[in-house]
Amino acid sequence: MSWRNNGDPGQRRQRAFAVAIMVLVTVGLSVTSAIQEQGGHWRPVNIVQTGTLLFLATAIALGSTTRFSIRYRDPALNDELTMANRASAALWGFWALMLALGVAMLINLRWPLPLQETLPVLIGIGSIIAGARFVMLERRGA
Amino acid sequence: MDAKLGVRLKEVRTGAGLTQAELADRVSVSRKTINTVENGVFIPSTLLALKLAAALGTDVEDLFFLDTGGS
Repeated sequence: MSWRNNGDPGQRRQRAFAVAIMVLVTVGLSVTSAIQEQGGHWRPVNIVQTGTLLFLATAIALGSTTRFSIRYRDPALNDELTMANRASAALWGFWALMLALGVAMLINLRWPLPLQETLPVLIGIGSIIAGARFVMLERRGA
Repeated sequence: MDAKLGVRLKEVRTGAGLTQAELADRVSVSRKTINTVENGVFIPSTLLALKLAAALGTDVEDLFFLDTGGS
């Protein structure tokens, strides 16, 4: 099966989300490791990386939990099954974020966590879980 | 009463000589939605159930029924 010639827009969307999630994980890991290596000191490149992380996380969260799009989409891609999938993805993303926040607070009791480094990671976790849940549900009917 | 939604959509659709994609086009949903309804993964709204019945020229009760486990 050719990836390039597959015309099903729903499957194209699933693949785009999967790739975006992988990129988000990669950027997230590189941001946290780079800042840790520098002892928490931020360089301009870290600000760009963190900005990219937040942008990607926002794009994934919007794409997997709302019908927001900057270009025209086939209305059939926003049918009631997709809306139900988005609601489920939003719920999973929310609870993943709450869980990650709870874990971060517990860690913070023992080892203080810097807010500006921790927050993008927490937001990223919520977005990754929401996006992954959305892709999983969309694949069910493929 | 513990009942589940029984689905006869696939039988009626194939009886009408339609593919999932053709039925999806008629009711303005994706083929994926038809597939998940047929397989019992997704319970359609009343509106979609009525649209499906209208598109297949039948009643909603012919497509969906209460499955009470054979009782």
